Amino acid sequence: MNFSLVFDSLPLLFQGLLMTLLLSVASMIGSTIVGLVAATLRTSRLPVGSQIARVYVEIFRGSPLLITLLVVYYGVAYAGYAMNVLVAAIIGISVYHGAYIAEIIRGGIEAVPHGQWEASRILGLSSTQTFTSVILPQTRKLVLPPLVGQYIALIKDTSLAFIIGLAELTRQGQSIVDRVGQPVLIYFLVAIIYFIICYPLSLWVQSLDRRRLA
Amino acid sequence: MPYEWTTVFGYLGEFLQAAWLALEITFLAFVLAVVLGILAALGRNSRLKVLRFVAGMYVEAIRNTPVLLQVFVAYFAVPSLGIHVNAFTAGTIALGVNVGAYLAEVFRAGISSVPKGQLEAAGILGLNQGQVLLSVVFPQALRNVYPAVINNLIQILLGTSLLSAIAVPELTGTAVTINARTLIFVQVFTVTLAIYLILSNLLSYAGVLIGRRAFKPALVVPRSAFRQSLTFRRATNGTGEGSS
Amino acid sequence: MSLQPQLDLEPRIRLVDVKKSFGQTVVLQGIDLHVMEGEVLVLIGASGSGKSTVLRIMAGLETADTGEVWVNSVPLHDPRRSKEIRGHVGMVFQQFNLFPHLTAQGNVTLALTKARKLSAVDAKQKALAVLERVGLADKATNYPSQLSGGQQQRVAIARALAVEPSIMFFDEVTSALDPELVGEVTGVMKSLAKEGMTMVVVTHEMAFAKQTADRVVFMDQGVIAEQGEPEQVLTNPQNDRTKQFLHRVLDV
Repeated sequence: MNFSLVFDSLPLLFQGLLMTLLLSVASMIGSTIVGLVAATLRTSRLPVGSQIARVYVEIFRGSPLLITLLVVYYGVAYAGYAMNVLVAAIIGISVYHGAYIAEIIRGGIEAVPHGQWEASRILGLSSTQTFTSVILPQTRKLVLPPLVGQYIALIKDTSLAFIIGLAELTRQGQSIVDRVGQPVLIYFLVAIIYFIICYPLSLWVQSLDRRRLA
Repeated sequence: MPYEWTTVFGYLGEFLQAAWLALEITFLAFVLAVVLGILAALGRNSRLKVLRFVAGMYVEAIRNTPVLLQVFVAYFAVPSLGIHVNAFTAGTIALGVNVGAYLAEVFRAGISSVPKGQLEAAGILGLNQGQVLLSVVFPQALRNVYPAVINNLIQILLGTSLLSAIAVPELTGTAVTINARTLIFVQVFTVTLAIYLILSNLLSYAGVLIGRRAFKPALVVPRSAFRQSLTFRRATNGTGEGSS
Repeated sequence: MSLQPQLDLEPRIRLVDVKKSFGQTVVLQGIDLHVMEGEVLVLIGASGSGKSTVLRIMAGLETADTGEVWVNSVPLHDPRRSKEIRGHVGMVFQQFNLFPHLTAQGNVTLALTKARKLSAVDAKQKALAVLERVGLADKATNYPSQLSGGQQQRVAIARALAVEPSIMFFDEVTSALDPELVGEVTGVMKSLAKEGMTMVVVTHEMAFAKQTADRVVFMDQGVIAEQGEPEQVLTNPQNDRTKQFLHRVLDV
């Protein structure tokens, strides 16, 4: 085990980690917002909105994230504008995972008993008031475990930004391997870092699940 | 406008060849994933602590690290240990190993979804462990996990796009190449997206059809049960779906 | 049970030749019905007779396919005006439909603050008053999951009363309750009736119908088979179907 190599790599890997975390957090926020909007549209009674949301979900759940990233990044370049790689990655990942989150939230909304809508209507609450004050709060418990699971998948998917040139964790690892070799050691380090981020989250999801089924 | 479309359609042969390659990789990796998944599921349920540990490590290590990293490990790290692999093999094995870990959890949920009372009844009737597994557990577990298994198959297909990073001539890589050559960005990626959507929908339709024909009684599954992302589900949940 | 003469008063509720189908199934075949101010109308009948559908149409939860539906002089059959009824009638459901994430008090104040735009202080005051009315002021800060079925249903009644409706609808509100809890709910309903509330009740509780109803309507297969005073319909029915139904229900 080449300890000096490990120490020399750490700063670069740390930079990559920061970029990964930044991309992850920004995309988690972005995709949740997108997913919330799409789920609201999908479950609303507006036929146009509902269909648009449905098409959106179908497209992004039936194609690879990499295509989305390439389209966002190179598409913008093709149109003549320069786009920051990080921004392109955030947009691409948010739009892509937003489709999955939309379905998770939709499942939660549809699981709320129909009677809750009726009771609110009769009491005089508007559709919006019913949605925000009665329905959404009740989706929380059901939606949280798969939502966090989706976030874990998102964090791992940030590695794809490598391919459009973002200096995130996997790319930093690869650049070290390109320079000094020792792929087994370097990849192991990178994997450990991802594991440290993701594993606690997955344990949390499991405990949420257990509590929900209890 | 028409010029760009005709040019791109001139490349249709390349696109279809690449799509075919992607399907080949998908099915090969799927077979590997199913085998690994069954082994790991049995391993995690085993009474031997060693087996439980090894299977557990495999599943958690794979599920908590990015698949792209695993592809790189297969292509770059493995040769450094002396084994020579080409990109196709490395990529296929990486995808199979990856989805195998997710299938392990799916199969575990399926096995535990069979009511314990049936195992007891079978045992009392005189069936041994192996017979109970084959005749009582597997048929029922298979019914329950079928949607999740098809879902994972589709995820492998979408995962083949990553193999473009190690220069496998699959669909995404081919699209990038053609785009670099012709710079007809919109048409190239529209065609690519369309092919992925067609393929993933074909796979889920096939899944529905097989579900109806191959199972007795017929297994009718709504198409929406497929195509969920590989989210984290505990064994007790059931089919590994992302939403309700 | 109002003692005022009703001849010159417009009916609170008026159904004129109302028909309703769900898909291929015809549920209502032409219903003519009216409910006067302060009247307690009880609808009885077998499941599938259409009694719940009539109630839900009156409450604005379903729309009639044809015919006229007038509630508080609002034409519910006119899609442009049907929304006016919301917040002016009260409905209590078989499944309670309480908001599980809010306390009893919270359930009551939600509509007061959001739809009626009351201040938080006023809403709380009103909520406690109406919870007191149903005998549950001491459970104001409890969540529905901490209350018995009978208590939950009484909270549901309080919630409906808080918006000061002119008509109260009850859709089999005791059917989901354990027998010993039915009394506390029908007790509240009786006291409401005594105060002169206009009520339309779908129920299987024949005792309640006999004691509290001003008029009993027996529905069978989408039509009104018989209606009249409770003593007449329940103890001395004219119609054969009514006799059969009561025979089945009361002889258990």
